[in-house]
Amino acid sequence: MIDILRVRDLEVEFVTPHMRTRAVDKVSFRIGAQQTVALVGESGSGKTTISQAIMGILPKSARVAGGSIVFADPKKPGTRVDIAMLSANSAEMRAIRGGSISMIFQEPMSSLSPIHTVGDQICEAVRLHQKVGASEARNLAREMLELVGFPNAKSALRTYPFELSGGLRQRAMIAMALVCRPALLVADEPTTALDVTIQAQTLRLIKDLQQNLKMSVLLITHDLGVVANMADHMVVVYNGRVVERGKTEDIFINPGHAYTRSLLQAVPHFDMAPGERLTPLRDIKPRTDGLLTLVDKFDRKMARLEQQANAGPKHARMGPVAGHSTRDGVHGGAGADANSPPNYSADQANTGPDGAEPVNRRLSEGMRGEAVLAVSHLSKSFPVRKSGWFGMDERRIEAVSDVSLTVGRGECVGLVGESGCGKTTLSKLIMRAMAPDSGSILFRGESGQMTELVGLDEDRLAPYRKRIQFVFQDPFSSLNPRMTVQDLISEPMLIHGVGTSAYRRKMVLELMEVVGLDPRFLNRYPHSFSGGQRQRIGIARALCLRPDLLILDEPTSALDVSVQAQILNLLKDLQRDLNLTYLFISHNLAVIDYMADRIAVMCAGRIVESAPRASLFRNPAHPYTQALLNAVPYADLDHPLDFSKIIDGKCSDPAAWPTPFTVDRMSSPPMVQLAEDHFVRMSRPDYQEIAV
Amino acid sequence: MSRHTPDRSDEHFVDTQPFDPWDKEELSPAQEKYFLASQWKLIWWRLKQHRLALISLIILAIMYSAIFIVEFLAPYAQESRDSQNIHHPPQGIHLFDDGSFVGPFTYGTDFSIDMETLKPIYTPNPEKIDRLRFLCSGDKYEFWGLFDASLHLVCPAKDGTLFLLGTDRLGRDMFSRIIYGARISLTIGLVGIAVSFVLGVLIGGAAGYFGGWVDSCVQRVIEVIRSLPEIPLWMALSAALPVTWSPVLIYFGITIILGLIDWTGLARAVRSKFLALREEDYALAARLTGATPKRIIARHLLPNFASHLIASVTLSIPNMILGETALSFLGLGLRPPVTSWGVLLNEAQNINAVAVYPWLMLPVVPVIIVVLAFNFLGDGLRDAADPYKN
Repeated sequence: MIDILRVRDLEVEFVTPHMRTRAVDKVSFRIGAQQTVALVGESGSGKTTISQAIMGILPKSARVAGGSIVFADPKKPGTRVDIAMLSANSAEMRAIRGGSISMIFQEPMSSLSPIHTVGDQICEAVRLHQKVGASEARNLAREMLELVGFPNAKSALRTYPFELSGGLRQRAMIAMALVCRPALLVADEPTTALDVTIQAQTLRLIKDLQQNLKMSVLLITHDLGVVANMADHMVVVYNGRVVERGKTEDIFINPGHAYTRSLLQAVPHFDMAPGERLTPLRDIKPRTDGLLTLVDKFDRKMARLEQQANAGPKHARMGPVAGHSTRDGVHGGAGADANSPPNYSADQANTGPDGAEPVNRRLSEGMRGEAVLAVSHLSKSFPVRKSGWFGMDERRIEAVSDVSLTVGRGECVGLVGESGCGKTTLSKLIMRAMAPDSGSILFRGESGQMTELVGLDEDRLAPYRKRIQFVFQDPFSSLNPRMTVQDLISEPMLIHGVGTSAYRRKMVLELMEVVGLDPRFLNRYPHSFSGGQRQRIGIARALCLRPDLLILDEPTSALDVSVQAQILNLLKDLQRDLNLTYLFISHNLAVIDYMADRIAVMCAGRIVESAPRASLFRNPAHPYTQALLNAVPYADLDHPLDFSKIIDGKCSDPAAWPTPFTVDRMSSPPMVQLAEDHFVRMSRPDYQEIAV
Repeated sequence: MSRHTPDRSDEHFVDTQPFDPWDKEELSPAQEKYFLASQWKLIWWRLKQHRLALISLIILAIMYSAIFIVEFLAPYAQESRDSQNIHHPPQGIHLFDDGSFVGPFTYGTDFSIDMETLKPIYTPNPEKIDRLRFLCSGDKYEFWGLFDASLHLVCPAKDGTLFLLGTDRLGRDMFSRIIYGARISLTIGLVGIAVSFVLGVLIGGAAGYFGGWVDSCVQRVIEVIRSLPEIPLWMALSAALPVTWSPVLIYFGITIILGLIDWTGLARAVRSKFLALREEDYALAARLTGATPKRIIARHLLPNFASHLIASVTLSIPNMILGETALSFLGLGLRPPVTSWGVLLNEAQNINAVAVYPWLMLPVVPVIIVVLAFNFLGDGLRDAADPYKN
């Protein structure tokens, strides 16, 4: 058996004016014919640099410092080329690149030229490497597009990338890479930017094509679920070194290196026992006792102030709030039409007496379950300018449509959905970063009464801005690069005029310990932190006002798995210790499963199913939920993806769902209760039949 | 999927080197220094790597520090005339005479007149060796109009001449006048830019932050101002300045005119940066925390594009300098007795004069040097302005 590629003792160095760093350090591995080898590692581990060295596309500041990359092209038996010795622009290297070794990239949008048709781009790849005429090249391109599953390949040749959906774009890119029938396909995070359903389709496609075209695949990924489903062999890299290498099953069953073990334990999976924790590579122990005492002190002070206030003008202030509470009551009544999420009125009745005792109110266990946030029938649409000179001809896209959701105190509600489903818009509506078209957002403010947030102007929103905090997805853009950590964390307190500067400084110090950061970092700027550390700064910032509700918008999707585990554990600990309430938004089902008590599945602006965590994953009722669950790759060899169950096309198109669930212009089904706390959007009144 | 027979490639390899997951978080001193550096420090480090920008910065620093002591640096006073040496060509400085070292000196010249063209002809006379004097007492001047002095860095020999760049039609030393002109020409750009900076930041900031109809209005106004031909506009505005004004008032009038026209470019830069930064997550984060627009602009947006602003200001100073030069050249800007590079060039309007006395064009050289230096420095600053890229 001949290896297609042998990498031996590869060393790559980056030379910058300041320093010289070794990104790849004596890496060796081999790829056999028709094998799939996965290169696994975190960001910054050097896996992309290795792939760039193989493709001869290293950046200018990098150079191969040693070792060899021997490539044996099966089309030219007996020849061996050391790619490491070739100059990047030599004719030999150019013949190999794109001809014998092809690459597909993470971003399907930026990897295709927007001003050329798909056909032209594929034909270009053909004609660069094969002596064929224009019409023959077009035939080859069409053949390839058929092979990657384009429904109408001939017309697809004439489409521009912007006309294609993300999944089809990815297919077009794969077609372009494979049209010259390369011996080796280098796939650099081919599915990371894709939704889970499209990821499953793409993985299946790569697997099918590999068999058809008899090629080898070098799969670069950080996702062990993908590795378990795709790879024969895996190479684990850490800090530029290979720490473990071998057959996938050997490593999954018997991981030899501590790093590999911790990677495997850091991935959340669906079979976790209740209370089971992830084991992150770098565990942090948050110290919450200090903050808690602070909270107590603060509450006592607040209580004292309230008592003082009680003497006089308090009743006058209570006036309008009472008006809201009647509205709350009306809403509670409307909830009975099986259309609104779980009703907490019973809990509220229980906890009523507790409310009279303000001390420790926010910590009291008795208040658990009382609704903090109740969203009902929320809708928001955006205008899309279709044509017309003055935008007269306007179409609107419904980003959020008829969403109802309740979040109880101390609870973590998970909102799961694919990109573009409207989950971020929903979170921004709740934060009142924008105004909804219709619907209501009730929030329990400091007074303990539910208050309508819709329609409040910025001044009257200020007290609620203090109580609802937001953690952003991208830890790199959500921290002002020109502010020190001290300024960043204390800013919300400064805005709301909380405490003295000494109190703020103390609070920031406490918070640094709470999120497990060294207090010495206080004078540093965000550029000096890794993604996980930045996200912890973001969490500390969100906590400093001691909010009632924390909205977490994909807080871990920009992070490595081991860091993700660290952040998830931190969030869990904080929730337990500080009795926090989370609305946790994610596209990752396993993460939601690990974090949430109740889960709402969102698609095309609507919540299609909502249920407690256990029942949602045990009996998903909605076809979209089922499709999502089927598409998740498990980092477990015993649970391979069932590629036959993966539906091609759009399972996220509401019009394409089977009859009781169809949502289109004709029918817009309401939420129907299947079991206690389990709601599904469907139109059949006799839902009992399909409720298992 | 083919799984071939086990060979060496199938062996399960495990690295045996010690593994510490925390070692990645340890920092080298260089990293520590980088991590504690503020934005401005990072910009400075970046700028230092831009060779051309650094050289430009040094040149500009020298030039600007020179304008404080022009009276001392110039060998002659601003208005001192030598009626014996009208249209004297530039004189070279020599060190050796006849093979022996003498120290810096100039050769005296003999005067004659070409009787056909009536052109004065100065022929160097090797007999007359005029040794330069340093830190000497020469022409009297009033230092910044504060006190009288006569100390010069370098003066000609007693009864000798030192016309490094020749003299003009009144026998005034061009070199001294160029040095004096720098004081006006280099600062007029700064005053003008201050005016256009204030206007640009306020108007562009409002357009960028509020958007909507404010933005549209500002954009249209900018387009109208930009579509007006510049020179006629300048001419009209400076014709509006009363002739009775003193030269100093005229100077301020001109700078304000330049500023009033030049703010458009800056306003556009500010607006586009605002639009981009307004969408950044941290601006949204501040808004969601309840920050007022004032705070968001002052604490989050301004610091983030201050460096970009400085870069665009640096790039627009040369326009100001060129504007002043052009206006004065046309006789519409500053007028004698004020001396600026544009006023000096005004003398070179006559093609005959330039053909016969080419050194009258020399004030162009410092204009070119300053404009280039500002452009290079601006380029360097623009590259360094966002130290977090790459």
